[in-house]
Amino acid sequence: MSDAAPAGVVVGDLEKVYVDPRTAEEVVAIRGLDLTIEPNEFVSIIGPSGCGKTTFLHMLAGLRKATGGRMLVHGKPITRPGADRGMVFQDYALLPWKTARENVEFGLKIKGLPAAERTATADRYLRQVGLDGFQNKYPRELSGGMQQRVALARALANTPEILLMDEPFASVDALTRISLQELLMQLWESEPRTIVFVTHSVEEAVFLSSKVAVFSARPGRCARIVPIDLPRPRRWAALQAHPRTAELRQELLALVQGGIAAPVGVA
Amino acid sequence: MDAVRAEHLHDVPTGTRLVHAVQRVAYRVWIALDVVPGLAAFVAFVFPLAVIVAVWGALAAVSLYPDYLFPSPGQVAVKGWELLANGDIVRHSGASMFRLGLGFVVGLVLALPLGILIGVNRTASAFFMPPITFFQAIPGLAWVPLAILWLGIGHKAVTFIIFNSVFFPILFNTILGIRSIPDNMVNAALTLGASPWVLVKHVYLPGALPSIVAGMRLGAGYGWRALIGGEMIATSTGLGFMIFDARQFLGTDVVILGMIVIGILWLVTDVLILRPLERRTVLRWGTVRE
Repeated sequence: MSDAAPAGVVVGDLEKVYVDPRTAEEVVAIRGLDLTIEPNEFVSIIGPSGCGKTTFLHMLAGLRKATGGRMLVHGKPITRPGADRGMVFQDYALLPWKTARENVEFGLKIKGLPAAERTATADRYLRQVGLDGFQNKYPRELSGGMQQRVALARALANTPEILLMDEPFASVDALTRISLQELLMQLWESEPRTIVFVTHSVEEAVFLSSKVAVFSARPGRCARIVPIDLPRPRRWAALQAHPRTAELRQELLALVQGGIAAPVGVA
Repeated sequence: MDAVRAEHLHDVPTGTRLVHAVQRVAYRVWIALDVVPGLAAFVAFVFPLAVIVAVWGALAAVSLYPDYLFPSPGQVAVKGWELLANGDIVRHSGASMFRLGLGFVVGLVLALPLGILIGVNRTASAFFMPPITFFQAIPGLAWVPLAILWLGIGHKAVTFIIFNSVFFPILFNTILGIRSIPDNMVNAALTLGASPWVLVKHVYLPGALPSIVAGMRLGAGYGWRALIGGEMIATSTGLGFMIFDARQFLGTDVVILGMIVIGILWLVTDVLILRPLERRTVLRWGTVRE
């Protein structure tokens, strides 16, 4: 599906400083962040809360500006948001006045595709995420899990070079989360693409990723890269029993909780 | 004591039994009326008004004031028929409604883009909000002297005054509506490649629409009030002029008639146009769940 060539991401010495509007103090959210993401890699970012992982994702999307360092996607510096970097949000962020199909069509409409082609593409992606027959429903008529499927279809239908996902499965129930994670794996394994996935769940990071970037506490930087050498296809039934799963989880948990990721002086 | 009484119906006080009987009859009437949809609600609305008219009639009959100061409902009705027949009511109502419509459209056309700009852009907000906050504190009617001097007596001056009343509620509600759109809806559109114009058309406008429509209804209401006041001073047609002019000839029947027409015209506009519009957008846009 991706007619666009897969992109690599190179981030060097990235810095984000902002002024807290209430205290008027400078806050260093990110400093000295280096990260390289290969084309078609599935990279998860975990780290303690406030470590700047969501800020980093927004900066990759071009929604927030860096105050220092480099961010290259496909060799080009990021200056503003664009259709080449799609995003899926924790709160779905569907447009409530558009039906499921219209939401998925939205990016294609912006690109100026003819209506018939848009509809066909939207329906194909809705089918892929298991929402055949729900094309004409409004978001409020769908469950949280279904809304997130629509949001996923909306991002995928736009064939971005990179898919940015900001804790996308954090606000659905546990069973829905498992089915969404497996859906994402099916889609990625049948058609790899570059995905940057922010999560606070070690289990989720281990299950999904090719590698996990562990961020340090504020100011955030990439403290450790942990490759996830689990077999594919990834399905919960098989992976839960795999001995390597538990090891990786423990390793990551230790990094996030006590080790390198803790602020200096606290550990 | 009460339990014992309830067992012996004969002991229920006559007053209570009477109330119960009236309630039963009222309930039967209600059920009967419900055969025609909306009729029961209509009767429930009109009945209290009918009581007021009856009290008015009774007061007029007692003649505390002379007829020319306190006319009876019958006199007003006769006057109403007369003015309806000679076209006065239609002429003055038409002039008033035309001005309201014109002032409303001008107010909407100016308030909407400015509201979107202020809602979206911080610099624009910082620049425009102080003067807007100041000018919205000035009632539309305070513009009457300048409106007359600048625009002369007539349509233009009154329309300007209405515009002033319509503009601010629509502006503030547009700003409020835009600012209440969740950030991530805008972010989602941006990451799909939306241009500023696409954002306005597909995110900001529809997202703010329920609030905008509420502002339109509010603005039309303010405009209607300003209209009647403005017409008393700055023109020689319209319902406001009609009732203010009649005062000079002790035409209290015309005054009361005009007040009734003013009330009815607004109710009809609100019930038939503004409220359905508001309900539809709010429901369709999913701000309120059915």
